[in-house]
Amino acid sequence: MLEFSELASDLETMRSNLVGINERLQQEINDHQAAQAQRGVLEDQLRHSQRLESIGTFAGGVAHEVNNILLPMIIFTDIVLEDLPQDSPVRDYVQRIRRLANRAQGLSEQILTFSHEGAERELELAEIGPVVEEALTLVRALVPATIDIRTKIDGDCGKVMCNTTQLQQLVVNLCSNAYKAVAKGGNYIGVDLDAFQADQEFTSEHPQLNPGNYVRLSVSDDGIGMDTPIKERIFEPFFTGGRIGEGTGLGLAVVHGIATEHGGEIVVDSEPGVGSILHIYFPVAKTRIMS
Amino acid sequence: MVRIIIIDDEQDVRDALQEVLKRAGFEADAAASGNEGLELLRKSPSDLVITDIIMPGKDGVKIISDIRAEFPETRIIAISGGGNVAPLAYEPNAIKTEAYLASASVAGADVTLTKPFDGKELVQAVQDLANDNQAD
Repeated sequence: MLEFSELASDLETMRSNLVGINERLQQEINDHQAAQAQRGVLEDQLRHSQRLESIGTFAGGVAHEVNNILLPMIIFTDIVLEDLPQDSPVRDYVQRIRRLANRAQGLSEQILTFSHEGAERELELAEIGPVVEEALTLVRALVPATIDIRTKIDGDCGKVMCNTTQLQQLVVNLCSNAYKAVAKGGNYIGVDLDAFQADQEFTSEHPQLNPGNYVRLSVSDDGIGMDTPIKERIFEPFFTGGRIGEGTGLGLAVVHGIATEHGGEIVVDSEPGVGSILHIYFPVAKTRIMS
Repeated sequence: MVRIIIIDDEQDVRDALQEVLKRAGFEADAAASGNEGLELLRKSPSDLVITDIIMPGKDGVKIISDIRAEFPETRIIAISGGGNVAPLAYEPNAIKTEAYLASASVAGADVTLTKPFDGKELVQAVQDLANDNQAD
């Protein structure tokens, strides 16, 4: 009888040990799976950045060659215009050539902005709120009144090192992109600016960001939305998602270039038929943290 | 009359710059390489050199330091086209024009211009340097 009781006790001990081991194993499997998932996200992120970087290098090289061609084209055209009689029947054509050269120069500058090789711009410590507000006045003039523009700007969300002209261009380009999506089925464009603290949990989901304080600019819409293959390529220059007649396809490439130059990171969330939201996280300037 | 030497490996660029400078009243000569430009400078010293940065053979930064050593009074304008530079234009480690223009400044260029620019910008830069020379 005693023997049977001891055996039962031993079996119970073994059972509880096995339960413990099983729990630890399950925990290890979960940790391993989580680490693998994070590694997968990081690898995707790395592939994406490398792809954009090599496209940027290639595009920057092409822009260099184009600029070498444009220089004599612009100078010779100006010389022809100088010498051509005012009433010449071909004057209009030559002026058109000059305007087209200007357009090509503009494109080249946008490509260089995407590949972070544009003219060096000075960054200053500034509140983003007023910059976004100013850009929104331009957006309101560009977007039809039938589209509702909902804004929520936190005026005290922190200062960042920025170039205000470039930031305005970034806001206009983001809103212009949102408008294209809304024009095909949607009602509103949302522009939000707030302070955001990235904690460990958030950065493990978005490993491109480090924990810390950010100013978050979010541009949302309830337009057509994007599926994953399109979402992965929207920052590539000249990518229009197969849609014809929607501009050069440089708008979001320029957004990517400007955000990167400002040390910002972009997070895209989108669903076909529901809408999109693009968040840009600008690191808060260190002076604010110190103060 | 202000005398200028243009150094650029592209004939169209040389011709365009030469024409616009002559029209503005400057005396402009042109060379297709750094060595050719230095030879020209030795034969007839000039007030100003406009040089491209990336060229086959001697690159613009080396030309600038050579001119600085041999002709310290000559003013220099360095020009380049933005983006990554040939011949490594499409390679991942291509050197950016920005870096080359910065090196050109360190080597002794008085002014740097990024292509494309129009004739007015160039003439203005040349006139400013010529005025500085007169003030000195």
